[in-house]
Amino acid sequence: MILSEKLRYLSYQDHARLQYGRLLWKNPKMKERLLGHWLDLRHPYRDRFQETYRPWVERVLSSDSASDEKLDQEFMREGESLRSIIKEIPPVFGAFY
Amino acid sequence: MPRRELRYPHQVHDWLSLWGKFLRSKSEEATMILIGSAAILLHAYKHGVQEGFLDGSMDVDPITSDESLAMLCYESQIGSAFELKNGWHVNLMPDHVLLEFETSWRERAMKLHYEGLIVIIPSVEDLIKPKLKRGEPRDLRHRDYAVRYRILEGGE
Repeated sequence: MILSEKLRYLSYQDHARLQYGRLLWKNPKMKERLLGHWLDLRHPYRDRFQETYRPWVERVLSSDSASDEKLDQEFMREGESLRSIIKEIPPVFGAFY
Repeated sequence: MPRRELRYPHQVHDWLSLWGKFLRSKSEEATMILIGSAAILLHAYKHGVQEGFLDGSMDVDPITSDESLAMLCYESQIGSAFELKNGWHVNLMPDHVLLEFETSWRERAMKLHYEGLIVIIPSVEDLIKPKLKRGEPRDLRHRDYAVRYRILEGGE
């Protein structure tokens, strides 16, 4: 299946976390802030992010859309996929962001 | 539970005015595309309509490629101090959502200037079409609002 087909069924929220995560990741202060939020003890996905998905999520956010095909192929070799890692980008909770 | 207190046209205008002033104070300039029910309310404001929706919305749906604006939006998400104060929150939408609109939507869009913020809103007709496709009761009420207050050209 081609990548665009695989990503077609992501929700708008998944797409938004990718698009704006990538945009804000370019700013070192925002990158630190997002990481701090996702690693906050109050964040319900903290353990999952820290223990398993952080390296992949950081690779996705550090790249741009032109690299998506290449990233997806790399992730597939590693037992994941771009689609599955996009879904692992943690949400932001306004109450303690 | 998210709050649903976005109801009146002036609320959208006031929010954009505040953010426009803030961006200007930081010597920043950003562009937002605003869709959804907030965009319909903004059209209503520009038409001098003061009456609000019968039921409130919980969020506004902006799209941007500007970092400064994205940062403001992240500060205003569900559960934030912004939501606590205003009774609604900001729900940043991806570019992807614009595929719901006809490809020519920009030709009919309105551009508004709020100091450091440029806001682009699709025409009411373009905003209503995806709502009519969904056909949910709330979407139809937004169409009825646009017709009742004559912000939908030619009525239906």
